[in-house]
Amino acid sequence: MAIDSQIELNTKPNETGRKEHRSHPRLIVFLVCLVISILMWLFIELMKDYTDEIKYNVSFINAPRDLILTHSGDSVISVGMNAQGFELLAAKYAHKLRGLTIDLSTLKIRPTADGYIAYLPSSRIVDQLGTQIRFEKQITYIKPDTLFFRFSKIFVKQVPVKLDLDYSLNGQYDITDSITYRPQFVSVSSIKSIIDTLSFIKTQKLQLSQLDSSVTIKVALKKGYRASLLKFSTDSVTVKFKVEKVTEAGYTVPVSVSGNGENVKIFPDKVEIVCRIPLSVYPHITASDFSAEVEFQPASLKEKKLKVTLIKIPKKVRVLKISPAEVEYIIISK
Amino acid sequence: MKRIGLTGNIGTGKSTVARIFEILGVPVYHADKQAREILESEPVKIQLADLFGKQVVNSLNQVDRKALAAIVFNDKNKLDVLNSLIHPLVEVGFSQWCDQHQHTDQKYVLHEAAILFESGFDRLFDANILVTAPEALCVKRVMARDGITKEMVSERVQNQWSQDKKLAMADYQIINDEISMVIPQVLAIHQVLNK
Repeated sequence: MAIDSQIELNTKPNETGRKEHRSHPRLIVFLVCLVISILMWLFIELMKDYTDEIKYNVSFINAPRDLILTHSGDSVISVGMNAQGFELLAAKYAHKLRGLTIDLSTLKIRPTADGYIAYLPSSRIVDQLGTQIRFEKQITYIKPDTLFFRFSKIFVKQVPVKLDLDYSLNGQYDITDSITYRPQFVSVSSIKSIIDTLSFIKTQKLQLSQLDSSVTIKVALKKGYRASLLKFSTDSVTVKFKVEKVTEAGYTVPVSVSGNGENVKIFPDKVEIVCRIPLSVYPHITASDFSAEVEFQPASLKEKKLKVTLIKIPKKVRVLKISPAEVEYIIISK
Repeated sequence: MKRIGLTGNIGTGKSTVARIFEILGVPVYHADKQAREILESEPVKIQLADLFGKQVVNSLNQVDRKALAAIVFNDKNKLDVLNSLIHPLVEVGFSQWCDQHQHTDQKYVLHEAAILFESGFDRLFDANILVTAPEALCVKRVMARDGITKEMVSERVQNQWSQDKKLAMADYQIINDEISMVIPQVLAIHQVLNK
């Protein structure tokens, strides 16, 4: 009984399987024939000549060194082509992705009252495009047929760089030196109207979170919407964050009186300061490394208390609190 | 010449206040400093060794203050014995000091001590000034000044009376809470005492 049922089980799927195998070859043959016929049709169609207009993004290179391109009219050029389907396809997709460049080094630039002007006729545009598009003989027209350019004289100015930072530190860490960046100034080349209004250059926003070690990072300078009219001597600045593990410590520091304070006595004459100190220097810091003073001038008589100022703070130490921040005073008549 | 007591709990700033009085020309007797000097005098050291054992005087013939404190602060009777030895000497010393300062142009002298009411010394004076400050501020000041923990400050505070209790016995109060101005308060008391 057991053997019979096994035979039965083995034969049933075979029967149905045989039926499926019979239908598959027919379908495959059909599909292959269909694809071949489509390809043949496509090949025949692409062998024919077509006329089409292709739009290219253009950029301009090699502008004269002492001039800046302020107006170029069009940044898109339409090229009419009469070519084989294959050629049109290549021109439309392969070149369009890259865009085209127009070399301005051979331009004849004329000075005028409003600046400098130049133009490039279609014949010369075709020459230039010819090196980039393989099918220049099939170009029937170019729109616009002439490109006009307006240049302005370049002015150069040194401007400071302003960092745009947003950072946070891990709780036990602090920046133990001022954040440094190089270069702090950049030479900016642009037209006069922009140069005159430019007082600083900002960096791109630099966001760093939970810093727990020193970092050196390059951050790009921000050109903004006038990017095409701005040239910087460098495109980025290098920013250094010196981050160290810190501890909090308190010191008692005597307060001296400066200015006209010979007869002035202050109370208290010592202040408590709380600071954040890098662990690397903590063992070497003592209260004598700090110096505090109040300044007494005749005008100070209007004030009931004098403000305490720390005039000496060790390097890398950040003072969080001076207590008291102000002291009382009494003038002793002699 | 009037004799005025100046006291305040640990960390209230009584030394600062005493210094303001000194600037104003008032002679100030620093009782705690004098007590320390008395403690180191030869006859007292001999008596200390007799009363509390030889361990309270170290090999350099100096009073081992830590060892002495450990003995007296755990035994009230022994603390009374120590006080009965030192306090009369401080009192004598103050009387002698007053005699030396009789010819000052001030009408009063000050006796600054940490424990004035607790020791009964307040009865010796014409008036007593109490310097007060919020307890939390006192603890903070002592921690910063002496570099000790909050618990250690609390231990020291235990041997003092509360500020309220002292205030009831004081004639004048100077608030040194870092909000009220101290010098005007001192000047006001100075004017009254110099009348």
